[in-house]
Amino acid sequence: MVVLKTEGLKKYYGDVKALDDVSVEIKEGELLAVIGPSGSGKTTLLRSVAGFVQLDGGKIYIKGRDVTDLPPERRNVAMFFQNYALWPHMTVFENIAYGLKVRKLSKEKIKEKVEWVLNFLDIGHLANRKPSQLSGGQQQRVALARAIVVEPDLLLLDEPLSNLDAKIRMRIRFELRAMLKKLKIATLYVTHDQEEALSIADRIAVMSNGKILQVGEPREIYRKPVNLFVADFVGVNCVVRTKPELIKKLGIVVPEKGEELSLVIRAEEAILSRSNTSIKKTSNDLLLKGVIVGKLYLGAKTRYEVKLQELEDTIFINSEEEFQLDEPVQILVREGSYFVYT
Amino acid sequence: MRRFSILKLTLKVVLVFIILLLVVGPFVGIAIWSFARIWYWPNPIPQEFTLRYWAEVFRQGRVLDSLLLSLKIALLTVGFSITIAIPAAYAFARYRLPAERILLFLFLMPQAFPQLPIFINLARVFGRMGLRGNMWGIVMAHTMASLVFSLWIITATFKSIPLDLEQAAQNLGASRWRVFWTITFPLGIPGVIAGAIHVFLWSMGEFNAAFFIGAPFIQTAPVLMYTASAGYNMQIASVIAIVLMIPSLLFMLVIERFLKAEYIAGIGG
Repeated sequence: MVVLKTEGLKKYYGDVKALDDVSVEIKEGELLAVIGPSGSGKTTLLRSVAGFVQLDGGKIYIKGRDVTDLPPERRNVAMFFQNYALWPHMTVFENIAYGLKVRKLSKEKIKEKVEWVLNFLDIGHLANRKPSQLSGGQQQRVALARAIVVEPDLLLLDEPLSNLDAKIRMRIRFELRAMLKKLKIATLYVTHDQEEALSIADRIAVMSNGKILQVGEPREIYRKPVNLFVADFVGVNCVVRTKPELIKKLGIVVPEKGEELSLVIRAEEAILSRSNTSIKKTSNDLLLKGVIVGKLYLGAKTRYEVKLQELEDTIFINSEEEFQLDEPVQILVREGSYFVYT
Repeated sequence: MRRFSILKLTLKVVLVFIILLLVVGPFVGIAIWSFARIWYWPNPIPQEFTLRYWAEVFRQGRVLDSLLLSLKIALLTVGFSITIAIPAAYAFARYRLPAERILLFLFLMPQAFPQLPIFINLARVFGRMGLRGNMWGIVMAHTMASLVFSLWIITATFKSIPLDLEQAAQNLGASRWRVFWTITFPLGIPGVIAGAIHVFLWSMGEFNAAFFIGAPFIQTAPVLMYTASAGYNMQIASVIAIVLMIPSLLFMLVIERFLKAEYIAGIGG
């Protein structure tokens, strides 16, 4: 069953198209992540579904019901706000109980549900605290609890991990995905962090300038990006703008048209080695020659700046191996780890 | 290092002294006057003390009457002013109103112009409406003139409440009305209280409107004080001034208790 369906959503802020004919679908229990740089329209999409954006066109259906013209309070979607938006004058318990009280549940029922969610998220001991007495991670859980306790048709998560520090964020990714899967709740998840999206989502929609460029499963988005933008936005890459002839010389089939081509290399998958090491490669793998021109120690790895011989450009690649400045090296990029676009 | 800190200390002492002089000085003068029987320049303290004037003020019912009148007027003014200001302030804070500036300016008018002509004019209008010499006339005038304080203070408070907090409630199914009473208003209470204090103190001490609309039929405390000191009875005026301070102080103390509890912590969050 389709939980969320948007059809041709449009929203203009003056000349800027925040939403330009955006259509997405989320099935029951599915987690769709919308990724894109800031200003791509992903937050506008989320807020439109919540009902906080006056649309210039398009339709929104939630479980088959046309909610396009319904006010936010009548959509039965629960939103997680990026800065949590917990009410400072209420305790954790009161914050979580709010949506249930609005739904006119009995006192006992409210208590039962709130206690269930407090336990589910392991924050039972915080029930009587005020939001100002909580750490960032605890506030995040309370905000999440407040949204899921009302059992909404659809959960809207606006950058749920962006206000946590990097180490906690990694751990919470696992927890969050496990939790959402357990609840089997349809979720629209907005983030600017492509890695987060790859690890959490069932499907990903990549947005730029108000348009959805590609929708697909994480592997598909990563391995088969439809254009330069998607390829560059997902993963850690180097983009080399160069003439078609130069790329042809490397043995790659290139599109016919275009004065200049973009070669996107998944730098995180490229293998750096000394130029005299012999390497097994298939005909579709790409082997580039270059010279180390800069290095930056990162701990487990070192980041190298490599000047490419054939392509007249420099790229950055991390490697565990130790290379010297000015040392000639080769870079192996396997099939599927590089893309060519006009 | 040492010399520097001595300089700092001296500055501090001087500063404290100046503040005391400005804040406490007038009060001390008034307090001494209220007990003075004879006090001629240049003596630093009166030549003769007496409790006579205190006794006189309390023997004469009119002082307490006028004090009670002032209190009633101030409380009613606070009630009306705040009741009108809250919805208006919310509208100013959350919606883009047409002619917003003009509207705000209208509220500012009674305070922006010299008050004397405004209130004299108002007194004439009220006279025709039978509101002269009437407590309600003063309450109306005070409400109008004090709206600018309550409205601006409360508008600023509502504006400082993040929109997200309201949207989160709306998102969970609460109507606009419910959002206002469960989220916005409780969070705005410090501003409402600040506005109430301001309006109360202003009304308690207001002279022009009270004089032109109320006198000679009814006399608020400031008007009585004025008549007393105009008759060169500094002692009576001082006693009234001190007595006049009591309700204001009490009002502030009570209100400050509310302020402290949880709302102060709330507003930053």
